[in-house]
Amino acid sequence: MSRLEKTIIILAILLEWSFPCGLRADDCDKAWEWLQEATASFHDVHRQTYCLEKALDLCPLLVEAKLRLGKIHMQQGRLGLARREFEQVKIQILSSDFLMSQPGSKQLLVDSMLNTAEIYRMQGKLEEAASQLEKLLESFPDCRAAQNNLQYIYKRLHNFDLNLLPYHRMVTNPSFNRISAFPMPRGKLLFDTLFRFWHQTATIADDMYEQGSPLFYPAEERSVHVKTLIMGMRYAVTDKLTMGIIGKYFWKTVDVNLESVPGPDAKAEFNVSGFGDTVFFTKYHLWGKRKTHLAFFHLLSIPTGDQNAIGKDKDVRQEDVWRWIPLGSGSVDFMPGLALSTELNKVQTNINVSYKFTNGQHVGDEFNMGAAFLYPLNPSVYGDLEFNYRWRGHVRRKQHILAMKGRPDVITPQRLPGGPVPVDTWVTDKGGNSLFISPCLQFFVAEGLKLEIGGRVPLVKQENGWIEDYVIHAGLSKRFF
Amino acid sequence: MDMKKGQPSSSTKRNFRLILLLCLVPLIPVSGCSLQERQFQSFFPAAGSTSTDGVKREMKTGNFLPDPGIFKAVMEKNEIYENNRSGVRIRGSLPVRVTECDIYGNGRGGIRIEKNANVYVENSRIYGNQRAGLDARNILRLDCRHLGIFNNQGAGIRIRKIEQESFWETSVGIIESDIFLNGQAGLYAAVSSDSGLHIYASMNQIHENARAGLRVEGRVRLAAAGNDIFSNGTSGVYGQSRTSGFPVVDVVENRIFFNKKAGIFIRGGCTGSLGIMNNWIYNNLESGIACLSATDTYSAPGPINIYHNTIVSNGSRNEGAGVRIDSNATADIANNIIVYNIRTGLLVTRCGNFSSNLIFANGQIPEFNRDRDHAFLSRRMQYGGCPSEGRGDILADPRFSDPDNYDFSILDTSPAVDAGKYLDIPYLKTFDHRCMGALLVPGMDKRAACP
Repeated sequence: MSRLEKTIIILAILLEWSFPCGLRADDCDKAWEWLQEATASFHDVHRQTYCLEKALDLCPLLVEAKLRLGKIHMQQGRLGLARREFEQVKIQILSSDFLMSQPGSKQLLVDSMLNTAEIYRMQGKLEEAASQLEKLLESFPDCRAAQNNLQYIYKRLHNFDLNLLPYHRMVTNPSFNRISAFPMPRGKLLFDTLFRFWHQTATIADDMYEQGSPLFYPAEERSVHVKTLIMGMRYAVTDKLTMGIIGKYFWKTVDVNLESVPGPDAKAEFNVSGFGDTVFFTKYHLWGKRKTHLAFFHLLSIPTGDQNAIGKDKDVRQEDVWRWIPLGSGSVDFMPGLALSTELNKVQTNINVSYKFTNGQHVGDEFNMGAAFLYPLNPSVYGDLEFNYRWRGHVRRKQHILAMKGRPDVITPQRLPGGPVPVDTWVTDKGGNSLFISPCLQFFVAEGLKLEIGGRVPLVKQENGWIEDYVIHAGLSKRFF
Repeated sequence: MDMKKGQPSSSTKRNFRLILLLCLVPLIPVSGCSLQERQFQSFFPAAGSTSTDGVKREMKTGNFLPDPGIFKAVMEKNEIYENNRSGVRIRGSLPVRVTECDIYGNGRGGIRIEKNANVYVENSRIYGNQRAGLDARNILRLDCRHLGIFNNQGAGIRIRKIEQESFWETSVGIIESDIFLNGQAGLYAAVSSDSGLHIYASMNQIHENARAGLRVEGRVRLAAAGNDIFSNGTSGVYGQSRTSGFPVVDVVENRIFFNKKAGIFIRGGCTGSLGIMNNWIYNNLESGIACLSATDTYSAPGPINIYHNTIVSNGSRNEGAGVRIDSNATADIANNIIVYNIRTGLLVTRCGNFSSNLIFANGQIPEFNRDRDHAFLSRRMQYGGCPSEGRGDILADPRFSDPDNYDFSILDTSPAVDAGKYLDIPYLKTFDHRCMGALLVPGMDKRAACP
């Protein structure tokens, strides 16, 4: 036989093996019968091996038989042979569109990779086993057998910290950039209770007396102390979709100098408290590898807070002396955004980018971008350093003030009497750019229970409008399995 | 020795231990379950005794060897296949023996047994049937030995007792059989009547069934000893209470591993006089042992006794404790080795229920070093939030012989050697050592696990 003839015969055999159409259906039917016979010969390993080899002779694409043969080799301690069979199963499935389209072939692929890792483990090659399982989890992140084995191997290798799976670390959410891209496992529940306190001031708006006399003396500065209790709940509907609800309760106090009210009532504190707007939270996990994840989120704000809440001072007797202190925006607001979370050398980075669309009344549009870096100071304490950039648009707010008409009865055309005059008007608070730095500490006081304490300090303040001073932050999170 | 072929063991000590084990099961009253137990007749008679139905039982390697003369009908060396309904149907109380038959591809069950039937099936293969391989309903007695029951679309063996039709105690023995690749549980037994069902499963290979390996519901007394139960679709052993009663489960000397849910899951039931003892329970994808209260039916008040088990690397994702007791039943957890489990070692509702266990590297913790100052979290993680360790507990590496090859016998340098506390259980007195963890290598290989 010439060399050419030999080559043609070999190519013909290879072609027949390579393409399913080259296989005779009868042979594969017979191979299937041999496979069944191998199952029925459960008590006789030699007979099983013979049957499986016979099946593979007839139909090399019968990867079930190859996988079973590998398992028998493994049980008999022929680990090298077993690994070769499993590798062949993997290559055969991955290189064949026909096999990949068959139902159940992915499970066979998973089994072959799991068994390869198993062999490495049995040979004491734990690093190789871990690498094999990591690869498997990249393709099939829900493979629980791989998760089980990998966690054991990490512990055996004393890589305990690798056992903290990314989704497990969602309890290490940053204190201000609170949306992590790491997905929560399906059916899990996370409760947050946060308390924040801050002081904010605003200079007088230019258009406060757009219809009145310039001779009115306005209040020079507005000053508000805000305390807020934020309670949130997140539930993982699926491994990718997390939904939640966030409620807020406010206590607001406005300090005002009443130039129009002489005597002890000149300084007033207007208090208001009540529920703010309710936010519905949705997060969808778009993409993720083991330590890097990307998610889309949306915060839908429903106007459950009273935008016309009136704050009064109980010590001031004059009826006209009160202020509108809105607790809500009075409109439905949308805030889509993206979250990116990753981890490198124990440093977990969370980046949130979002834009808030509003109708510009009481609450203005906002663009937020934050980067948070979390680092385990020790197993039970995480340090959190965040940078938060914010751009705010102009916002219109309703105002009720008591102004002082300076020169009574002389200049004003209406010849109104002089003295204090209540004025209802709309003002425009200007927006601007702000940059904050936020150091926080997070303590894990019990399993799934986190206590966090921190603050937010302005590095760059906006020039006009409402300007926040430092923010004190304390929080408690409980995760339920 | 080839256990699958049922050759008698050469180890007289092991025989003695098994005989003792079998005899002890019905005899020792247990506080929580004693009422139910007294209603059960003795299922495991003393060696060489003759039971009421005339089948002489001898306690050799846990097998029941009937006198061939008592059978009124014998089916031998038949191939029964592709019938529209069941391959074999047996009714009435005349003892029937089925031996060396192949029963496959039938439109319903392979063998259907009902109405007081008293059947002995051995050395046969029952496979590829459209429903259960062995389908028994309201029977008196069923003994299975050296069977291959596989690829049936229903359960491998299904046993039911229905209310109003069944007034007698039923006993079922399943010995040295292979039950695998069935479409539902390997063994499914459910009782809806006031009379009980006693099941003894020994030295079987129960694997790759779509649901649990062994599943019992209602008033069932299950004793599982010396089995390999692995890679089943849900739990390895599952017990569930019903309104008619709760299961009483003894699981001894088994290897239970690679199951897709818990290794042993008891919902509303309790353990018998032996409890869950001397098992290796590893790499199941939920908890190693989980006992929960039943929400919709009556739950047993206990006890749940868990002694001398080696429980390793159970769980996946962030769930799966070594032992989880989420039930109000009284529990006692002692002399176990509980290591490398995913969520926590012990997750119990009553923190005082455990003592003298070796606990190590459970939970998703950043490290395990109990000597470091900040390791309180690591310690807490071992106990699922319980504030303190149990009396006599050891938090240290157990030093297994070859854990990467699933050999969890301990080395002579292990801190578990002779560290277990004394338990006044006759079965345990047959062992020379008082190590923590399983005292022997369970399943088919019964060498000592303690040096």
